[in-house]
Amino acid sequence: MSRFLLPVPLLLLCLACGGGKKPPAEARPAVDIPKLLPQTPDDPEPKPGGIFIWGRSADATLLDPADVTDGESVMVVTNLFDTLVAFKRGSTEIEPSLAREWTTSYDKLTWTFTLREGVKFHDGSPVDATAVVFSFERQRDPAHPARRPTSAFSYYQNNFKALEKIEAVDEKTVRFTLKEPYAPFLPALALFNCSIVSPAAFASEGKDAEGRYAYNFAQKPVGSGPFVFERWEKDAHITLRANKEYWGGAPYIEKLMFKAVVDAQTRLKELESGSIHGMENPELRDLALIQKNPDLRLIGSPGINVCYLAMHTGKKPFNDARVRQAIAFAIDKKRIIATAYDNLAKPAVSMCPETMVGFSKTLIDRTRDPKRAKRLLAEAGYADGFRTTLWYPIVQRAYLGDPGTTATQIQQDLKEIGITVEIRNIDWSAILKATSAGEHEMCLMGWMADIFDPDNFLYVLLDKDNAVEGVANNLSFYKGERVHELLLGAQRSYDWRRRESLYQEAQEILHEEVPTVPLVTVPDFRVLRKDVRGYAIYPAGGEFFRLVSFAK
Amino acid sequence: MSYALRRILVTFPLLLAVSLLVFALADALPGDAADWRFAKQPEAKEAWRKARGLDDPFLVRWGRYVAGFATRLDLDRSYQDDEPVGPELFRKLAATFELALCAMVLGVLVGLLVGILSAVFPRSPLDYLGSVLALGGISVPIFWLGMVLIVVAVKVLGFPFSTNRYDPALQERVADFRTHLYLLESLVRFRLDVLASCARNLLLPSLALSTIPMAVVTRMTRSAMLEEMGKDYATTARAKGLPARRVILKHVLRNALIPIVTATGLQFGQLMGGAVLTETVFSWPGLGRYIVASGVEARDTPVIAGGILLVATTFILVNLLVDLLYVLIDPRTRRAP
Repeated sequence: MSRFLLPVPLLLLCLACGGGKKPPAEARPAVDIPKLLPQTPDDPEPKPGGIFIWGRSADATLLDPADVTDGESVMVVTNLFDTLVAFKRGSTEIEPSLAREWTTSYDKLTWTFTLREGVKFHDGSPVDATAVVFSFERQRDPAHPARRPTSAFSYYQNNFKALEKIEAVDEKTVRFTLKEPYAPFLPALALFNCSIVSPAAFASEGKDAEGRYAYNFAQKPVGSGPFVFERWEKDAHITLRANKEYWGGAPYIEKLMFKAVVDAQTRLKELESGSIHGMENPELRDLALIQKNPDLRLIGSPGINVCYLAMHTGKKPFNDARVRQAIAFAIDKKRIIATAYDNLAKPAVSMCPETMVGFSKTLIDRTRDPKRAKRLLAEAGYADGFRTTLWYPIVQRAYLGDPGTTATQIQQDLKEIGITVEIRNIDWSAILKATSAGEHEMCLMGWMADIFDPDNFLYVLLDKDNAVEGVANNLSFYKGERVHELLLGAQRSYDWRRRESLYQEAQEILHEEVPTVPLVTVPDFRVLRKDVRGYAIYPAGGEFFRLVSFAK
Repeated sequence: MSYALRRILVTFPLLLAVSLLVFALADALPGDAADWRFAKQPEAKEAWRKARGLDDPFLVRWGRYVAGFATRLDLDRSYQDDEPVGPELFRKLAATFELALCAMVLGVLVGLLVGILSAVFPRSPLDYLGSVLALGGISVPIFWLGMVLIVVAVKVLGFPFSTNRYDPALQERVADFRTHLYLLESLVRFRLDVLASCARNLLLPSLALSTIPMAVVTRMTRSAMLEEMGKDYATTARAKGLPARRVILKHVLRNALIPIVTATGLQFGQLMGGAVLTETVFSWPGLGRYIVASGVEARDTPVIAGGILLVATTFILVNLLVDLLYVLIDPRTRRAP
């Protein structure tokens, strides 16, 4: 479901505001990415106080942690709520959070978590086993009163298919029972949708005529996290205040605000004038300028995402692997990176990004070879080429760079081998719907990790289980049996060595079969005022501001 | 029947016709947010359509819509989450109204001044400068002008630039405001810190947006003034010894005002719906941007219909106001034909 992450669609018009671009293909990146730090300096003695304002491209849509799907909402709820386990600061390693410790049965089907003592929700009610069960049950049970008619809980639907039941053993102990082994279980529990919510808050306003809790939790969330929800002015700002009683140590800043500033240029100017203190998604062509500004600090991390070209393998001529290979041989990734990503992305070799564990290091990317591509096309019986369509989304996403340019480049590359491509841009929600129903021939898409596990890329994007028309994430509709066996085997094994070799084999097959052409992986960038201390990028997603402070 | 009364009465059927048009157009849009919301459950969608009364005949639904708006200012509920769309639309309307009003005041004041001066000193350097500025105002794209204004303000003048309507740190101070007209309400309540913050945030967007009415008003004023100044009554007034300033301000300007006021009314209406670019560049939480982002992109039909209806209604009301202003300016309209 991760296509929803990062900013909500931006106006087309606004994209047109861009100005000059398209550096020559041989240009070097304006920023030396490996030299960028993933965090701002830490203050040895952080000074308390201050209002910290974070600028982002859109407002949140709702603040129910189980129901959010867009990055703007996610970055707010990650500061309001706790999960049982969490990612270590700036890392993809798991550490205890609300759960102090946990044990697993020998068959790895039963997981028992012991909760931290004395933790309270912002409304004063205790964080106990009942609250944990409540938080999961409301996502599982369609008749649960703490559910709105519009609740989709898509992350739960996707990530917890293996969960059989969850029960409170005693006040401080929770037991999860799985139907079958599920290797990404622990990182899945660290995801925001597994936030523990306050049952007392839900019950505080009674029930409506249909037996649902009347309390509007999505507008007035109550958790146990480092910040307490205070106020939300739609399309403007959301204010959180520091939770002075936070079990992990109170935040340094007094208030945390999220401000929606639609246009990236405007956002940067606000940052320069000091009206906001940090921002996401600077435009790639502005990075060099940002680095020169003495008031600002650019930070970055390699990014766990992939932008790819999907070909519908259920449709002619893409049902022939040779045609797909030909296309892969024809595409010039370097030029795409230069024109659509200002030289700031890395070519992707596999659908599992290099920055993710399990990436097959032995894979060697195809070097561009139009002659060989033409030969392959001729072998497949398309010596004269063919006509097809390529769809791309109109949306601002870091991993998509400038999707229109990418599409045009692919169009040119394919024209060279005789394939005439008609490109079409489609707005975000429409393209998600149409492609998941399999209406496309070729489409440009991207994905970023929700769960830090290769399963989240390979199984989600290329397994036949996810090629069901209407709800497909596997947009190539590739249904390879061997890959399916390998991916399922890897999902059900807890032995990392074995999993790694299974993923390796799957990636080799996928490299040969080319249902999708992996194009690029894009780094994550953030810009902050120079006096901001203690901010770090969390590679697995979300924003966390507890340790942020201002240097005086 | 007096002109004013007739003019007011005509407004009602006009509003009704507009609502019919808006409702019909929104209704004819293929696909909506509900398709997305109930992507996997056709039965749930049927049940929902039934519960919302969406399968009723067109005229029934339109009647219900109009009645809801006329009696409760209700603008139906969102297709995405069944929440009423009215409150949010009115908030956005207030934001756009304040922006358009400031831009209009700025545009009209400057436009009138430059227009009058250009007409009084035709073909002077001042006149040429005015023409160039007016032409520029019409032709320069707002998003570009907005960006330039921001860069100049931040880089050159060191202006504490901030988007949206006021400094978020003042959130507590506006908590008891009853309207969403922050500038006007903080003025009435004499809350100077909020007023200053609102004015500061409004300055650049209204400056950018004011170029359009400024240019139109300048050109209109210049030509209307020149035309009136050439008429016999102006010559007579001058001949009988009235000072030039008096002739221009008292006689000529008053007669020239009619087309200017008309143009101003139309311009204001356009700013209400057409400030999308300014709203985007300056992250102004206005109606235009909201209709596009939450209505058109999300295919939320009630947001589109309600938003357009509000814009159209404001347009009609502003032009009604303009027509009523004629009564003050031109005594001839007071007499029934």
